[in-house]
Amino acid sequence: MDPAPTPLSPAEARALAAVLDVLVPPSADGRLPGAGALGLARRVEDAMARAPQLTAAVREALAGLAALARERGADALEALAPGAREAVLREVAARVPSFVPGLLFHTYAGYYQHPDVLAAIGLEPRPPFPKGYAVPPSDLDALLAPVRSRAPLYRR
Amino acid sequence: MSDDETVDVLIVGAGAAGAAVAWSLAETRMNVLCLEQGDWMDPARYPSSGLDWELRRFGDFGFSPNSRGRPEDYPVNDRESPIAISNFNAVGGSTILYAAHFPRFHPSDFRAKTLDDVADDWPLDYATLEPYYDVNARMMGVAGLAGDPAYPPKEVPLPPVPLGKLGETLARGFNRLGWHWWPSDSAIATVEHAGRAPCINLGPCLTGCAQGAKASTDVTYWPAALRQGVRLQTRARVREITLGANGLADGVIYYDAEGRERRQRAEIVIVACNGIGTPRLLLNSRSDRFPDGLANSSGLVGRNLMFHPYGLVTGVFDERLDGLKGPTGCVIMSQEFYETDRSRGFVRGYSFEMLRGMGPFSTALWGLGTGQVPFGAGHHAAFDELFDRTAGMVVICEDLPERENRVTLDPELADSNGIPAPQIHYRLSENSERMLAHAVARAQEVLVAAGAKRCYVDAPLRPAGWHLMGTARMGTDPARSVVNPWGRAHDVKNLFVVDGSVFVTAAAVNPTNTIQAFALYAADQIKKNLSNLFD
Repeated sequence: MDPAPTPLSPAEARALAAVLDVLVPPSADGRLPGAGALGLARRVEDAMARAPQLTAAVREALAGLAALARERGADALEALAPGAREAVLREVAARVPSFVPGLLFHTYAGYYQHPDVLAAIGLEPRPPFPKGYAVPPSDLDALLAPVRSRAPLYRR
Repeated sequence: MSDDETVDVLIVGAGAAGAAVAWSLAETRMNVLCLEQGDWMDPARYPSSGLDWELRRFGDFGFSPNSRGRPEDYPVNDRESPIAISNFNAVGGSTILYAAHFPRFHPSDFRAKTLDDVADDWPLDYATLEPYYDVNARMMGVAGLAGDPAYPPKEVPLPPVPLGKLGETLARGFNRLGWHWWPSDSAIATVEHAGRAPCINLGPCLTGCAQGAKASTDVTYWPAALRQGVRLQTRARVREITLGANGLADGVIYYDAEGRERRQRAEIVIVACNGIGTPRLLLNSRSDRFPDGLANSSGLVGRNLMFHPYGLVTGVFDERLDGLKGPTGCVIMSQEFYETDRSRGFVRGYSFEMLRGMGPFSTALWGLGTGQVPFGAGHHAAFDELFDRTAGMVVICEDLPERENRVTLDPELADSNGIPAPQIHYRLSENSERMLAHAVARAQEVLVAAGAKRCYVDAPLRPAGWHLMGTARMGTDPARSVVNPWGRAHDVKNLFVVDGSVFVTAAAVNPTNTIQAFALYAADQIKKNLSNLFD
């Protein structure tokens, strides 16, 4: 069966990207991008197409965020001051408990597999294979000296 | 393959045990055929070849057959068990996903009744299996270091896997406490071995080894067995073993890749489907003669299911540990608390096995789940404090056999061919619970001694049903066992079981080495007794 389409409206898609930037914001030193700016909303939408429960939770939460933003005098979440967005998101997350956990799995997956992020956290931005990694040898004789000096530990 | 053909030997299952027994029997030049419900794996498609290698552990390379969604898998109802089943169906079986931690059992593991007055002794001993352990070490390519005081002297053909900074850090912790540790025996080619490329420290061994250094049996025993004429048919799911009028097994009924029902006749049937799949197959093989399942006159098929209750203890360190480099499950291990000391409050014992570090995605998820890494403004600082600064260790407790821990057939759940699925009934014994509590407390001590500033415990670890044992136990008394000391069913003299189902006790180490050593031993007994095998 083909996955059901999840056509988020342009406004919902913008709001979702803003949510992702709240979940994983850009780092203060500019080293790391925000998850929304990294384009991960598209990945979340793909996941929504395969998970109706996630879709329902996201839609409900986005509607709640928009309403709360309006209450606070803004047109949308992304129109709030950056410092106010997280408070609004946490308020809605408490009302829609599956919203943030569902988003975080897919957000973290996209974020921490992205080459830019891998490089920024000190990893080579590549899969493990085929290059692999070098691990320097240890001085096993020195490390194992106290163990080797012990009597046999096993029973017959 | 013709439905009319009768083969000399039919092996069901191409995993750790099926591969070893096939290779051993190949030298007889008998007509040997293996049926495997899975397919050959393509190492080029293993997760470590892509940036999404961590994510695929939650998808097509997950531990649980219930979540993977591969057509080769059968479902398992493990809802009533605190430990969930982890396995894999392919040529190589669960060795595709295993960590390749490859210790032997201790001599005392075969004598629990004599030494500790619990469970039963095995009807064979360490000395009997020792030469088969040696053969297996060469065939699988075992890396390690001779001289471990926790074991009798033993053959270790290849140099050990590297400790790395993480392993050295933990080793110093053990040394500070004066506790035993040793480089892990690992079924990993640390140098080129038997045509296999050496390990290049990829890390994610638990989702298949793209390098081919890890000894899954699709790259060890199977190529050798096939070269000698053994035939292997994949995507062949056996529904039942059939019985002839003479009371001997005469073959199997299976479904091919297209779902067609097929018949395969055989003179000898060897079952190697693991401690869950084997009782499932025997219980599904009912007849007038065996209405409760084939070879089940003792009523013990499916009973005495043993896992290894695991605990996962993770320490968080101040400094980076370079923990992503190297085989994830093989570093060092400890058997300080392996042998019985009743002053600890339990009988028998446990092992510690160290784990390397978590990837960034796993770190973020684990940090979220343990409350260490929030979303929002504090995310990056908290992630930085955790990433590559964790070292884990698992405690592996010996389980004791209990009749009520068992595998039955689920009344409703079935696989894609309609074959009834297994249902797991299991609880931890008081002895296991006391042992687990002792073990996780000691694990935290050693992590702190190694420099951890805090520890997190997950015990019993639910997705830890990798080691499946005891459900068609061996023995000399047909009333108290299913198979004889070399795996032949007491009730059906041309039917053999050679996997972990036959284990009498579970020991406190990973069982694959012992499963294969026993399979090689059973194959030798078949060869030695060919002239009067059915007497």
